[in-house]
Amino acid sequence: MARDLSMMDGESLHRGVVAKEFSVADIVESCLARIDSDEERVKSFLFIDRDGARQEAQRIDAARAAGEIALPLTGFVIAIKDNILVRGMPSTAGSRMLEGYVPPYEATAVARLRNAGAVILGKTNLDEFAMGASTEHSAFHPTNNPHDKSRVPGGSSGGSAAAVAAGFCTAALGSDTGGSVRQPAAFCGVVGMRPTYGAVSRNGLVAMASSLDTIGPIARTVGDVRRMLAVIAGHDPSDATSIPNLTVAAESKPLNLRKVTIGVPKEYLEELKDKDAAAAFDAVVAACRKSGASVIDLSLPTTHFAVPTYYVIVPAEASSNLARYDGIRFGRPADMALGHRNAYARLRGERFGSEPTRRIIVGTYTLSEGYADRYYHVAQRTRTMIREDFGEAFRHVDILLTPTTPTPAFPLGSVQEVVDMYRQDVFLAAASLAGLPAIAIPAPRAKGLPVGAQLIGSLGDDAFTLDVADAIRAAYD
Amino acid sequence: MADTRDEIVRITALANISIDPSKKRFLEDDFASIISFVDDIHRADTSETSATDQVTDLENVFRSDDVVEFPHHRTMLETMPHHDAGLYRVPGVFADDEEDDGS
Repeated sequence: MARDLSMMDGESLHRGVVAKEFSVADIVESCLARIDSDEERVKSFLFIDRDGARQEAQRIDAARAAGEIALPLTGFVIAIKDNILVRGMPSTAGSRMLEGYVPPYEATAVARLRNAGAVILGKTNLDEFAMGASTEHSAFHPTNNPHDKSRVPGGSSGGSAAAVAAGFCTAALGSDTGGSVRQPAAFCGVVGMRPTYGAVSRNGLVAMASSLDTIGPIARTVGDVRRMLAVIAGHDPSDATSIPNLTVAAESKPLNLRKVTIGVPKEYLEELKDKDAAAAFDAVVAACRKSGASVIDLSLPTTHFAVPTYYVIVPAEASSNLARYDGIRFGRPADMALGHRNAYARLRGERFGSEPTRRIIVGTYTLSEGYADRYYHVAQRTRTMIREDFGEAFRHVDILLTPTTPTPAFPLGSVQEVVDMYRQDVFLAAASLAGLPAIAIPAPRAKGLPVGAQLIGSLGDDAFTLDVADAIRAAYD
Repeated sequence: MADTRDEIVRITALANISIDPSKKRFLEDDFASIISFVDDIHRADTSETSATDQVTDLENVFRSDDVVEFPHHRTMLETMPHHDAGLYRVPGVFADDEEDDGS
């Protein structure tokens, strides 16, 4: 019987391929076998390129047999969130608006993964246009949490996180605007990182909120997240917001936690009302202290402005970005017979789901004459206050440690009020608004369900954030 | 806030999106709920604070103003639903079209 390689971490897979213990084709077959067994219950994918993945694996194996050296991600089989373009694969962004759209180019991050030897397996499910915290807002179907199929995987990168947790792939790419990599990673018990804004090119990412969108890796280990980030980070002239000179080394530096000062913001703990999630977080803090880290309480007084600020800025930017969907240049075609005004309005009304529609309406309102000063311009200033809060905190600590979510994964269909779904971002939105790197790592289980601890680093300190994450994981693993 | 229903009518016209009449009531309720939620930002004193447009502090990210060949014209055109002779088609903008109530 073939060895099941589907739950192995990427570093081990890479070493195994180099040592000729197994081939890349063996890894792909393991993933596909796991998909055949469990995907019907998890529903993490929107598109699986079985033939393409097999062909690419065979090409890589043949090249290796001919003497080519292994590339950094040789052995990695990677799934891509469906709002990140892959040439030749359908890209819907979870929306009927883009049903049938096959992009002629692909995201810089995807091209970099391929050039580093990874096999791209398929496209994963998401909340429509990355708007949501549960993947229930996908226009096609919800995704189920592999740990408990009656619960959500989180969102909006729920398909990616679920696919990694279920062993359908080695790792995945997601996108994180206000927590959409970190929260599903926490709910699915895997590692997910939002890099510093601008560290990873957004070229080929379907835009939602351009001043907050990032592409981030999801994997089963901190080391694999690091290896992926080392490949995809770096300046891209195709993205004007891509920052120069931020690279991440593929290997971590051993870190002595005794030399690290960790801050725990008290306002975050006040929002952590689930006692099992609170106990899990306390265990992480205790492990840090036991390892010798200095853990101090501090205050981030603008914490309670973060989610309202986020839900002014994001809908405003999204309403602008989604204006391009008019049925003319891509996606579902407009009915030309309706005349230009009605053609656009009718198509957009029919093809956008409820959450994109809500955000377009709210965003257009908060940017409109008479209201932009009251909402959008005020939110830009509260955003500055939030950034300054973090700046002050990082004068006293090296890194921040917080919970990732207020609860473990909630049951499908249980969060009905729109604003209650928005409140899921309570620990996530502030780091996004400040552009900071943040990573979710699995904490001890809360009543058998995964929960995450989040580390937030200072701007540009992605490598250090990963080093601390590695060290803390080792402290309580 | 002015009457929610009137606001929704104004905003949907601005946003070029028509709302099915069966969904308008839910949208009005959600809209009111969201605006009430984000109104919390007005509890902050931002009178002495500048705005954040973007967090990278990058400025003037332009390439040199040189003509560059774009080799993908045909490829991009083929993704467009309606195209003809190297151009993509749009609905006529000069004809008057009647208000579409989404029904």
